Amino acid sequence: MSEVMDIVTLSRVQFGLTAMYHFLFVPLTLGLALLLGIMESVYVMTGREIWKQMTKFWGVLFGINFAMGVATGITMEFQFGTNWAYYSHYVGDVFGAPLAIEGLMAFFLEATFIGLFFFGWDKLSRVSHLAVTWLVALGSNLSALWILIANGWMQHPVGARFNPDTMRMEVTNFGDVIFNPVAQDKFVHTVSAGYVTGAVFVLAISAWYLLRGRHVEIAKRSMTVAASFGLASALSVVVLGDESGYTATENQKMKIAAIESMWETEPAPAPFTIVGIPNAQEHRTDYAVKVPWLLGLITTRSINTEVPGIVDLVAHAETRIKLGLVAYDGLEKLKVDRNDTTARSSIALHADDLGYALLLKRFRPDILNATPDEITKAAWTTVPDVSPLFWSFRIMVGLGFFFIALFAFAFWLSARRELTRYRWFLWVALCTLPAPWIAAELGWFVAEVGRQPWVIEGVLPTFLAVSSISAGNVAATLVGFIVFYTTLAIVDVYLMLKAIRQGPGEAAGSEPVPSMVPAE
Amino acid sequence: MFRNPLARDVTVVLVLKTVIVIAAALFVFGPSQRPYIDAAAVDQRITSTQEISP
Repeated sequence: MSEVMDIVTLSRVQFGLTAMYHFLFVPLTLGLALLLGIMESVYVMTGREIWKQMTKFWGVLFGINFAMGVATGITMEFQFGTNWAYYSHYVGDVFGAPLAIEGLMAFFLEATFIGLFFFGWDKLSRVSHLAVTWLVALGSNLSALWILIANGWMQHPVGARFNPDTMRMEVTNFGDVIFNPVAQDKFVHTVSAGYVTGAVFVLAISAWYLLRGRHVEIAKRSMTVAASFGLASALSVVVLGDESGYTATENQKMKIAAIESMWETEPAPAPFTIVGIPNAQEHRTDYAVKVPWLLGLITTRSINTEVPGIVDLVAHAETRIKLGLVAYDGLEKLKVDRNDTTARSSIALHADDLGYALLLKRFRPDILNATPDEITKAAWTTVPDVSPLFWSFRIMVGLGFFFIALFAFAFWLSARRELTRYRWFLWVALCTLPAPWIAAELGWFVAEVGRQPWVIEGVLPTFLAVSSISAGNVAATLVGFIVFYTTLAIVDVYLMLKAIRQGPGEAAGSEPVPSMVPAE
Repeated sequence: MFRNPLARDVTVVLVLKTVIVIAAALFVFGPSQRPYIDAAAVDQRITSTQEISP
């Protein structure tokens, strides 16, 4: 079993690294695409050349980011077939559809119009080019939507049921898959985080220009756009993240309990732990600083509903494992007699719990003979790593509130036309540059590690989803990915810095606007 | 061919990346590397009373 676990770990690390690397590019694409649309809209409405110059300059950085990021995500789809072949068979009918739609519809929409964006400046009318820019933004957002529908289904598998004849999950209602509340909440939360990333990027680079006294008028206008757009986006991220937490409480109670390091069920309304030190050994949180009522309000929208703790949820998992064994027994009987209607009824009745019974496979292959002790152990495997989740979530949320403060202050300064008044603020804006990426990656860490031990929540344990291939092969491709992606990251940063140093005009391949033009 | 050196650099990276990704798809993650999993294989993994073999 240990080698199987090695493959599981290696496959997870490989997928996690490629996903996190790919997501370095995605939020900036999402955010910059909308900012380009806003800047070009101002250009079309006012006819002022400086706004065209801004759109072209930030468009160059958008283009570099897109070019470096494109095809870094497709390697995850390679991994589905090779490293996650059982996963692909078990849920491919459901999971594959949104991925295919993303590739065929959204990505090609985005990629086609990106070509028109760069090469259409002298060939399209102003309004036509503006439409192209907004279609790029639409394409990138639609792309995110379909990916998050696929991911949302992994968190909350609706609109599908297990078919014991084909041994896989099959779609029963595609509308439920598309309008999965978890997917919708994740989509708006994720794209808002992308908008914040784009806004911080523009704010930080503009601050650098202002600190150096270069491209002052373009930098001031860019900062003004970034401040207002960023403030709205940062507020949205927090509000929509709160909604995402509410839906997770409905569907992923263990994830919420682990994020909160809440071992025991607290009486309603549950307090929120601001900080503390999770103690997994003793099942408690040391030195916890709590805010009364807050968790209850966030997760249940009420003051009289309990939020279950980890210990109670483990007991619930034990019950589900036992019910799942009934479905598993049905599967065994169906192997002997495909026409056994009683077995089919058992499977249909307890199909939702079958995944829980499969958790026992970690402890023994003949799970129908599992002991009560093994059932308890299997139930405890439903608890993800509490400490990393606890801290990742808090750092992410802390950064979210910091972005609101940063953009609010920038907005206030821009409204007073005092963006260059405080040099310390420009330095803060510049140093904030990596923060939205840190927040976004931590957000994904919380979402994906918080779902463990499931690859599909409650349906398929991660360790059963990996292929029976050699750990050496997975390790070799993992090393290959690390080398390839690290090289690409270095090239990306080099090209970005080169374009930023060149600044508007040179990087965009046109004449710079004189910096003495007064700010509008 | 390229007036803008930045456009040249980006194009070179795109071409190299495309070659690497296609090579990976063909030789590392290609059909010969992908295990064939059907209903029987899933059934075997899930209901087998043998230890899961790598």
